[in-house]
Amino acid sequence: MLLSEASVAQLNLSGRIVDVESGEPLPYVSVVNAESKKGVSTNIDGYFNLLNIKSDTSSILISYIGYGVTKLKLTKADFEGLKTIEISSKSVELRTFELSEESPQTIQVSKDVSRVSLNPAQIMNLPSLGEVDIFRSLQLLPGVSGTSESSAGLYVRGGTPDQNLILLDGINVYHVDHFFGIFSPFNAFAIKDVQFYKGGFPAEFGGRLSSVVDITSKEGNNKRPSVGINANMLSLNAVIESPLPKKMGSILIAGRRSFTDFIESPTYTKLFNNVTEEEQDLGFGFAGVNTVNPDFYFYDLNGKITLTPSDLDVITFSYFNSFDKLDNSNEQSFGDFGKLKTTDLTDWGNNGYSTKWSRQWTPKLHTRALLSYSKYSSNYELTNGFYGSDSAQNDTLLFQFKTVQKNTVEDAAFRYDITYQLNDKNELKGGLWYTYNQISYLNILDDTINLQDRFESSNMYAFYLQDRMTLNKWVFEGGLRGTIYSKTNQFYLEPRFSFNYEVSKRFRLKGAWGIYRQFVNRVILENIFGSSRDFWLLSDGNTLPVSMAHHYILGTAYETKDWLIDIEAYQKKMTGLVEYSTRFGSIDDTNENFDDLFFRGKGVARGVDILLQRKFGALTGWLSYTLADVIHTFPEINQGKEFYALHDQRHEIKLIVTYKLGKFDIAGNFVFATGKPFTAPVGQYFLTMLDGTSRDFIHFGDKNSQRLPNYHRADVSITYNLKIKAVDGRAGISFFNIYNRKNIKYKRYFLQEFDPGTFMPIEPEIVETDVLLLGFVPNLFLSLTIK
Amino acid sequence: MMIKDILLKLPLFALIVLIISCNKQTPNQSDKVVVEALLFAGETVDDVNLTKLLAYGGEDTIPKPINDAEVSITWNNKTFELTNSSDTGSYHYPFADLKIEEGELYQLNVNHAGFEISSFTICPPKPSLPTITKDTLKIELFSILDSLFTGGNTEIPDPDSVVVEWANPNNEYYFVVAENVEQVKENIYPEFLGLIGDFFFQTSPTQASRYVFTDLDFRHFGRHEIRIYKVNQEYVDLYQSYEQDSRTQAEPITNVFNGLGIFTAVNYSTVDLFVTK
Repeated sequence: MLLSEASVAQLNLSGRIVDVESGEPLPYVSVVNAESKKGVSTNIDGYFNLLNIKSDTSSILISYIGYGVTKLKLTKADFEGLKTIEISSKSVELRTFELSEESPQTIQVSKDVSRVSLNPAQIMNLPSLGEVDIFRSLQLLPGVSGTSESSAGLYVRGGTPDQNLILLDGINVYHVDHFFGIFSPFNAFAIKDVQFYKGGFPAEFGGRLSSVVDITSKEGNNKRPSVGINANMLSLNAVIESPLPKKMGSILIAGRRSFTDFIESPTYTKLFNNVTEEEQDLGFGFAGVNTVNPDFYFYDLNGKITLTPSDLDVITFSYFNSFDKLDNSNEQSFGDFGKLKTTDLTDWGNNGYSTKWSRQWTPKLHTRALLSYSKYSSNYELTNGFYGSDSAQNDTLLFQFKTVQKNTVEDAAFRYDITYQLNDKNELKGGLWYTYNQISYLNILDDTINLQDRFESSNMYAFYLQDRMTLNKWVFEGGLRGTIYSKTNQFYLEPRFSFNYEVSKRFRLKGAWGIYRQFVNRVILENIFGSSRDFWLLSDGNTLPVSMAHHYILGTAYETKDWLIDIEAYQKKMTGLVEYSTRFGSIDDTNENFDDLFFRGKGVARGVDILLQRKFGALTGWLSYTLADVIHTFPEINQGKEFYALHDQRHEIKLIVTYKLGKFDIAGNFVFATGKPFTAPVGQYFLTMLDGTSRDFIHFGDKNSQRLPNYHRADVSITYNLKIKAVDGRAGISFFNIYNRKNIKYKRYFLQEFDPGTFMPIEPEIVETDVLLLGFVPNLFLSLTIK
Repeated sequence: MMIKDILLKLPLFALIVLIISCNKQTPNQSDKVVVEALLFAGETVDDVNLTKLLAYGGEDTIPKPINDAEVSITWNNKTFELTNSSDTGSYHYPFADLKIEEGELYQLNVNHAGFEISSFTICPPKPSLPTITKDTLKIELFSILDSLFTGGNTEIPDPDSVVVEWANPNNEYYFVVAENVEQVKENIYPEFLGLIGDFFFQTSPTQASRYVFTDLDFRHFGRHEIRIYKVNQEYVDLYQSYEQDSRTQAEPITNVFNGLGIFTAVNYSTVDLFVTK
């Protein structure tokens, strides 16, 4: 009897979860012992090890976002060696499975604190702004601003986009704005899994203050070749997947390119005009003189080769590239007087590679070695040349002004992670992380003022240790991360802790606390359209301090098979925040004074995120509400008084629904948010200069003390799913901002000194202009996959 | 029942809701004083003006002068009270014991309606005596349109031009003014073209050591005093280009603490130029 119990107690199930159709391993799949309810998650390569199963006839529950929940009855043979378990995202019955009736979900809220999984396959049905986009979908979650239409970057719980760690197959991606921020450069058709940590993330992640988006790209179908083609009103997108010969692994190549420089669709025109109208409105002095249409295009490439030299080894090579280019050059003729030739070029993009070798040494021991390189570069060049005509009608350059802004960020990193499952209660994880950063920034104004010419580098040596401990109804995760940063030559410690307590089968409490630091800063260059002219600089501990955040999170969840209510309250205290402004300091022609344009301060973000999710039936989706505020304090700004951050938004409500009607998927979302803050003018004044002329100035009140009107919009999409022999397809139409709500991006003020009709001088008066966000934008899409 | 449980067990939510709901009140800043005060080296103080801010959305179209302020300048540990002899908000100190001299520090103090306003400036050194390529500039009205395109500050052979130069080895800021000093001013342009001169040709602080005068720099014939001012950074700051929008506190730079405007000292050298037909 004792012998029998002992042998039963030693039953361990080791395996790998893969997709039944493509054979791709699936990460972060939950594998739970149906009797004890104890479970584990698969690692990045799909491996899991479930310990102490009492009976060889037990069942396990396997759940994965987009795949529902499946129950597998075990047999004796399952405990011999490494078991490969295939699961399907489609409702087809498999031999050993019992399928649940849960509908595939777009998001899955983890039991871990502030962690959400996003299903790239399901977001295809959501309304889009031209492109199906992962980051736009993340913006529909509570705690993430859903109103930042001009940036694909995420404002997570009072943080800014640069405070998010974005990893694509381990490549650190610094800039996520494609098409001026209307969507991100990640091709959703090439993405397999997205893990999003809104805060309180574990010690294995570091270097950012707010959140982590950990993206895993598809490895490619290792069973049969397939080709996917996707088209919409902006771009063409192709995905090719194939197994490698001799079952060595698989390959995936995905490419997307806009045809906007050849065909200007109504969707493109709507989106582009929204950006360029803003540029003209900013008053560079040459608005409305274009004689040549601006030329814009973007592309991105994803490639991945996966080699599986054995059942226990996985080697991957990943490549990622994105590029945007705008040529807004033009020429204006003044007849016999000459010409004004403007060369206006903007481009930005990412380039990254990674190589990963992971091995499941034993069922309990997994290691991963990762080598990655990432480069973000942005370039802006504006040249205004004034040409006269000589007697032979040749152009002669009289004089010109040239403005140049160039920023590159390079990130070369090596990571080594070890995961060891000590027993059924403790999972240990540790690792080393070395990063070399190199940043250059050049900013020349009007050919003469060398605002900045920086070239700097740093080394970061980090380690972490963490333990995930499961004790009855409690799950604790404690960790410690240490970093040596060469620019300050200091050692930084970051303890992290989280817990999860199962009050009852459905009801649980959770919480997290941690210290987070950031060593690179993205500096926002004000009042320049688009998002490509912001620039990154390394912290030096002085002008640019190492920023730090304390996360405090407390939450609860009530979950049934069909519904989930998830509530989290958080507070994030931040120090070492940096603002860059030419307004409060003065621009000089010497580099020494450039540092005066940086301002250092602190902030606090507080809020409550509430999510109600419906997970069953033809109608699924979620309703979310966020109550939040973000307060900054900078001694040299706003007379040292507290002010609301620009992205502060008190209330935000989002409703996302998808409805399955036969072969149709109908999806819609509605976003409502109270207004963001802005700084309003109080009055104007005039000063007489030495030459007798008068200059006029606007005096503004307390920073960000007024509020823009409420933001709201509704988007709708209708998708028709088709299948013709070996071709799976989707075709549909999407409407962004269907009732054409005129949301305000910001207000702009200028002193009008001349009558716009007669050009005669008038008493100067402040003129207020609302710069609007996107109005109604339609889009058509077609997607075909041939297997 | 479920929601009740949650709220009972997690009072933190209610606390955060309460904290966030308490929006802060902001003070009214529309009463700020605008200071416009220039000190000229070697001259008495006669150019300190105070006005109220012209409120945004208000009915006034011109700023109201402030005539009841207490205004003083502190120099060399002595305080000099300025007086207001008119209703235009202009204050002055007409006595020579307050000397405006190179390298000296001056502090302005203004007390008005509860606002204690202060500022300081240092009198800059006198610029070197400017040289001029010739003392007469001949103007032909027909060359105006040609000059319109090329600009007044560009050295071109035709129309006529005059170059004024001064020493500036350290690339400091100067400001160039040509002031007609004739008792009776004779217009260069017909009345309807006078506006063009006002619209296009305004100078700004320069780090150059020369200035090229062309016909478009002048609106009157006769003797002109070319003044090369040495100006301080606070004056240069007024010319910085600002985009003012709601995303930032787009406040112009000022050296006036607790107020708006400027308090600065200037020093200048002159040379004569005659503008003829």
